[in-house]
Amino acid sequence: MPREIITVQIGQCGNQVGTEFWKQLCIEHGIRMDGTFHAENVPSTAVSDRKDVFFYQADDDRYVPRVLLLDLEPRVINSIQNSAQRSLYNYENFFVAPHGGGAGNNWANGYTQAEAVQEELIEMIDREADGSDSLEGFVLCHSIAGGTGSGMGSYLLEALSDRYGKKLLQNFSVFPNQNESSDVVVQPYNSILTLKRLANYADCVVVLDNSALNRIAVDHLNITSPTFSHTNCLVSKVMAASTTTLRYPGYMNNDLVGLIAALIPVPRCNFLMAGLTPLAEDAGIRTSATKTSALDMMRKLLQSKNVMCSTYSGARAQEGKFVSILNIIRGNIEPVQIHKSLQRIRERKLANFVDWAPANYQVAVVKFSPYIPKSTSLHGLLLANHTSVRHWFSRSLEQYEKLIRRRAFLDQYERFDMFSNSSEFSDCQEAVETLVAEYESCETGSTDT
Amino acid sequence: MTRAETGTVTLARALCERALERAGVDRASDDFKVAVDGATRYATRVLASELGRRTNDAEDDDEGALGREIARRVARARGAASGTRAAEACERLRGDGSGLRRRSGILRCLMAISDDVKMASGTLERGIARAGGMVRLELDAKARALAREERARGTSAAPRASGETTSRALAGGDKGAMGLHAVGRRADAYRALEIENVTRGECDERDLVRDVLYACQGIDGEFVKFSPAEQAFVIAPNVNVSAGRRNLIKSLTEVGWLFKKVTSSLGDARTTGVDVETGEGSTRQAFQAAIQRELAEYYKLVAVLESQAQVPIIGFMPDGKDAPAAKGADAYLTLRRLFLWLADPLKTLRTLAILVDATYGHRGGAILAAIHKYSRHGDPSTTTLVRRILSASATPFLGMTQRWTVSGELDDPSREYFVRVDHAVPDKDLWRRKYEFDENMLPSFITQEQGRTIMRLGKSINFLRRCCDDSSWAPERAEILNEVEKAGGLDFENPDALAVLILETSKCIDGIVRRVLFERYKLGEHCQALKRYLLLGQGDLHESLMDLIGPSLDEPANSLSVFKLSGVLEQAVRSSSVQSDSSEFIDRLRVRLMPHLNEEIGWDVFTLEYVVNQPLTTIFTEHAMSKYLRVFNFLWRLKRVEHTLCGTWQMMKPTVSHMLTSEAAGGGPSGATLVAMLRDCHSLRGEMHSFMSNFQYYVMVEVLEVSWADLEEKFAKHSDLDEIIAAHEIFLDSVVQKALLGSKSQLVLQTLYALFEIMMSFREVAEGVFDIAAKVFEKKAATRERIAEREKNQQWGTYVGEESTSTDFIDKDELYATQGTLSRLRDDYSRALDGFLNLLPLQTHVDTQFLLFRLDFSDYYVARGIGPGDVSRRGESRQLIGA
Repeated sequence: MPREIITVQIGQCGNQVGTEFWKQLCIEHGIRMDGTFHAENVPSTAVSDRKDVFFYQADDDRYVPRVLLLDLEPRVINSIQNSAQRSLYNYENFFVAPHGGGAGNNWANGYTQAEAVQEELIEMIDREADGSDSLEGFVLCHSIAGGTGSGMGSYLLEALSDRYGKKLLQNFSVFPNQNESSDVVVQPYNSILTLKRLANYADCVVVLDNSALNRIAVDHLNITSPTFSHTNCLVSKVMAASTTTLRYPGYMNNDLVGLIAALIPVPRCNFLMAGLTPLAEDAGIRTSATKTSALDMMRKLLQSKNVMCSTYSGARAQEGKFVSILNIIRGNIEPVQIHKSLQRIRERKLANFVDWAPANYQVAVVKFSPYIPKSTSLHGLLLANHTSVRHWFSRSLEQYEKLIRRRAFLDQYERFDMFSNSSEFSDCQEAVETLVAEYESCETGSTDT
Repeated sequence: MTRAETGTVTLARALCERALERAGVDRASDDFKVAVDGATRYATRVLASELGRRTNDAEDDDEGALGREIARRVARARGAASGTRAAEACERLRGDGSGLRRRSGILRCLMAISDDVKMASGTLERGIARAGGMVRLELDAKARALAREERARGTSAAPRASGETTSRALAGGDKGAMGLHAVGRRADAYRALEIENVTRGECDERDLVRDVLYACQGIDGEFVKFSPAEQAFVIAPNVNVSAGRRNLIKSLTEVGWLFKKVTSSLGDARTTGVDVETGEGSTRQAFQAAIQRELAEYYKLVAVLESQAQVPIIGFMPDGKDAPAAKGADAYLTLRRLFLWLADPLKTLRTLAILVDATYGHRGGAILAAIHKYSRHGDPSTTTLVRRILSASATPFLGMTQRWTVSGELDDPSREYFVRVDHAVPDKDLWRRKYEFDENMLPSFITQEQGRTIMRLGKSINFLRRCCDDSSWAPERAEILNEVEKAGGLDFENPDALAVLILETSKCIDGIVRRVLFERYKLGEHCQALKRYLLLGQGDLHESLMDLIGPSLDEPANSLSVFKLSGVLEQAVRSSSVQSDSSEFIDRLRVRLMPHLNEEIGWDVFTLEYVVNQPLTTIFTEHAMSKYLRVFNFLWRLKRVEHTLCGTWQMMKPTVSHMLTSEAAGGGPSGATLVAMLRDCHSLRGEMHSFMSNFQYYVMVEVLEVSWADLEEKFAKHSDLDEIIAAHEIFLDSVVQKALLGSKSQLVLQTLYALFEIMMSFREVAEGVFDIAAKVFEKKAATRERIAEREKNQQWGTYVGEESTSTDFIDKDELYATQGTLSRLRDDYSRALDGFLNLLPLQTHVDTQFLLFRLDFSDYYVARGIGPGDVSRRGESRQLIGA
């Protein structure tokens, strides 16, 4: 059974990331922007990819992505509908709020608007789910800073969890930059409100920290003032890379459950970090003149500059420990090399693991896509469960507390019914505090069970 | 020296002087004397040698023809003018009325001398003397005898020539070319003894000589008879023969014994050789023929000797005085002369007898092997003889080799060849069992490796013809034969040709076999398919299959139907990425149920198999396929455990766990216990999953992929089928060994299976724990609803006696029972894991270091005293230092 995965793109960020993600997937599977499959110059024997995880075939044999594109304002969606990709998607899967006013960077606005159109949303989701034989789960792609991605995303998480409780819910969540003052002043509110939902209703959250993404864009892509489109591109790469084992099945890690189950051994620690290497490939910069070995690759993936979460390299990062690591390496690599690399990493203690469970350090090797000619260099992705992520939550709590103490901008939220009974904020605060405590106990000691 | 001898020497010297003078050498010069000395020495040696014997042969030769032959030879060697002179001289000799007898004998002798010199100067070709360094012959008609001299190299060539000539006494039965003893003084002593014997009234030596000659032909004489008891010819006891003669006769009759032995073996063979059933075979026939040829020489000699024994020898004196036959026995062939005559044949016969002995009871290749052993004899003459026989005997064998190698035909009714065919073996086993290599029949001049290659080549041709329906081989055949012809043709003396035959044929035939297997029968693709289908290389197929077929396999084995399961397999294939595979491969994948017992369930008996057809069954034998099945069953089991663990995770995934935990918490001590149990479930599952992931990684990547890469490399490199089969077998064996499925790993495999059992049973326990939590959750939700309902109706939310906290919702008995089960399971798991980790380093035939350090990457188990602990670390650090 194909174990289909339905992607849900929410808000400006989600849809921008999604656009890049589908572009990448199409290239890797030999699908044109109009959904037609072309396999010229590809020996048919070399191909054993699974397109049906992310695509289905329409009556005219075109490949159509299993994706829902949701937004509360028409700008991004319109630009997609006017782009080369327009005929790729099922036009029924676009959703723009009727009045098209957006969420105004207000979580409550987004949440409430989503609630208002829930029937329509659920119907879209049901329709898509019905179209798959053995749905494995949903991948949500959004940012948690603004209004639509966070608010509407939170609502959808709750809805999906309620309706498809047995399916997997994986989130690719772009976290805002905590170091710079944002133009979205209520960002801490939005973050805290979303974090609670991510902690409670998502099975796995891949954290993509905008500050780290910016730093990578500046340092590695030589872009002085990176825009969202640059950073979103990085996010889409992570998304694409993390699904390679599902799309190019080999011996292991062929389903999402397997991947996530190994990475998330305890339910509360469901936030993963991602790392990529090489980073600068698309920018046309030669990253190195030497041949990259497996060891280089695996070492780089553990280096802070390649990890897309600022807390991994933050002040207290040294205390952090890995709960689990998964490396997905793409390319022709000999098992012996991996063997040696792991030995070396262990020997030099490059990866510090929690001491209350056996270390789980997985390496998956995927062959190159036959549809991309001349792909030779190795690509690596890191998905890791690292306890330093708690500092992001702590920081978020601090910023939240600063605001809430002054009851700043609360009126914008209290306009909405769900905040009339104002325990919502304190609930969220409590949930995030629990989350921090959970990670801290993971880091500091044995949970002793 | 006898007078006759002295005379001969004087005559020879005179002749030489004259010849040299005529050749223009100054008589007064020093050179002249040296030249004459040399020439005389040579001449006497020639006279004393075997060469003279040839004068006796074929007395009726046409004198004219001989003359012409000499003239022709001279003409070729020295030019037409000299030829004409030689012809003239011959004519004069013919027309000479001086009464020289046996003129043809003389001419023959001359020719023999010229041959002899040719041999001496190292030119092996029969035929024509080369101009340089050759003896020039002059005939002097007036001297009524031959004269020869060496002009150009008279002094150097002659001693060399004489050195090579055996200076054996020659008793020339001819007055023209007389015999000369070189025996010297010892001969005189013998003669004295002989005279003494005659006077004592002993047996007449002539009779004895006759008897010895009889004996030489294997016939009993009057006095000398063969005694089967002693296995020798013995002198009849009542005959008076002196001790000396007795000894002499004894040694002489060895020839007879040897002859008898050699011919008897021929005789036996001749009667049975024709009989196919006893299987003497063509090699023996060739061997016998070669022996016969060698014996022909001997027969001739004996005939001559017999004739000489009849005729008294007339001494020829240089001073013209006749030496009458008054010397009695001396005038006839004596035993001593016979001794000298027979010295050479004795040696030959000895060698032949040895060969006959060595080959006794052997057939075909074994005969050749036996003969070949003697061809390295230190004595060059023996070596030459043996090689000559070997060469002749090997001809049929080599012919067989050529036919077998080039056309795969083997016509060997007497089982002489080192390749044996078992016609009863069906074609499907052709490669493995139809042909057998018989080492005993491999002649030692063909190396073991060559032999194996030869066998493989013929086998390949038959394999192509009978198993692959391929006859593309025919056109190249002629080419190869051409090459072999160019290399000189197959012959024992020409090992290069054999090498060429083997090399060319293997280049060609191996290429065809490879092409047919890989291109027409898609060997590579089938291997790939086996890897993807049976070794789980295409994991999504097996995941689909597990999802679909899982429920059926929980049923008792005897309720399953292969037909139904095949349908499920079909469905799994359609829904996974192998759907795009060519039906040529995917259609070969079948469901199979192993023979089963009553209580077994589907999981125990279900297996997949991949059906291959001829000719690939040669590589994928039943045995090999059974290994594939074994590995598949193991991998399938791994997959099932992992699948179950993933299913368990999904059952208690974060969202669910969070929901249940938050409800269970805050419910007093039993609520806390429940929360702890939920947590326990997670950590235990995580531990198990971690183990499974690492173990699977080890099997899939470290074992399968590494062995596979090795196989692919070998497939690309190896050209012949034997190597390909071997490579595939090595691949399978290494997978079986390293995956701990080998016989040496029985114990560790058991502990591993025990671990799997625990992991499988974990699911049920975890479900129990989560059921309790779910019940609490439901009851709480119901309570909340009830309270809300009542509050709406302005009532108390909770009445006394109603359950309100989670403690009240938990069935304590169930909780603690489950807790006990869980902790027991945990202990079991730790114990089983400990057992496994401790046994792992003992698997010395597999490198388990990698698996060990992967399983305990962060020393979690070491810190808890599970597994070998320090032992593994020490081993590992050693390994690192080594690296």
